[in-house]
Amino acid sequence: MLYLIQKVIKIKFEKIRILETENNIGPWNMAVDEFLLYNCKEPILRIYGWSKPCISIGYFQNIDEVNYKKCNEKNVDVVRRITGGGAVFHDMELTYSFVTKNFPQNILESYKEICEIIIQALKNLGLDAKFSPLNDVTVNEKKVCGNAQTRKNNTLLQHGTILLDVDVEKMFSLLNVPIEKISDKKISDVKNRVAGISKTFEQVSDALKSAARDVFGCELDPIKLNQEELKSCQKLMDKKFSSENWTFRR
Amino acid sequence: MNSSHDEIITKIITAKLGKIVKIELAYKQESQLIHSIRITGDFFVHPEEVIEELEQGLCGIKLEKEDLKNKIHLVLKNSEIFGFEIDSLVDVILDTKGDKNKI
Repeated sequence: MLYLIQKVIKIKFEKIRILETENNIGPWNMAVDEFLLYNCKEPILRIYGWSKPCISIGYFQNIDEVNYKKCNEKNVDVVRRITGGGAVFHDMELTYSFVTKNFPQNILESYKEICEIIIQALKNLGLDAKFSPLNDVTVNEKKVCGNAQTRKNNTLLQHGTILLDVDVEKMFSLLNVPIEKISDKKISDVKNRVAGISKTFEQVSDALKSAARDVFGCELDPIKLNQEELKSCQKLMDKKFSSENWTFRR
Repeated sequence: MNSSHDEIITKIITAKLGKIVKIELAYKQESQLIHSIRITGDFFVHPEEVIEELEQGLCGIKLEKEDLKNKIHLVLKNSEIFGFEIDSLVDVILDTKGDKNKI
């Protein structure tokens, strides 16, 4: 199996830093990702979760996609990502981000190479995971992982969610989907296309770290953000990701 | 024609291309010039900032196929787009005038 992986993967790293930032609120999670993107020296795999549910919307999406009032009532954060793509309801999931200066310039190829970490991790957990272009990973033809990326200053950030479980009804209740489209059929369509993998956060986290080591044939080096870096993230959260200027910009 | 009397019409359309694309268009009725446009949706464009550049660049452009196509190609020439084709985007912008929602 390792032989096959090494045949496919073109990028190589000597070492990947592992940053486990545990559960935090949406604006903090997005601030840390942006901080890593602009301060990347060596490749970092960040593994994190959400201290309360959050909807993240894509860079290009209209804030009207989200039922902001309902989210406030239900204590659900709303945050805009620096990456494109659709609205994501972050609840029962593990989220990762990967930043690197060494990556294929071709976008599809870069998704494919980085998603190989996810695919290998899920395979190690006994799941038949496959890459589904452009940016999804599926198990038994259901999407279990969505990914998005951006590139700034010759650095790539890819982040994505691995669904542990999904509450489609709750997700729809927080989005501004026209009422005629929240039919039983629409909900069952989504249930047929999306699934959780029914593993624990710890299981997936351990599997991801092992997969990163095996896929890229490298060492893992656990790191923590220092006080100065945490301050920079705090500033980014306060000035950008918690601000209405950013969230409501489109 | 006195352009100060050129009434501004606003229209919104949502279309399912590869991804969802929503156009909010304000245009001058007589001259058919774009007054403002916003392009939102769940697509991907690299680099991302080029969409704001495109929205600004389309202001003052006539709502005609070739004019739109040329401008969009010019602004997005070094970009990578996933989720819509430029020709489809042009058609959706033109459809916005007719208010024909595509989804």
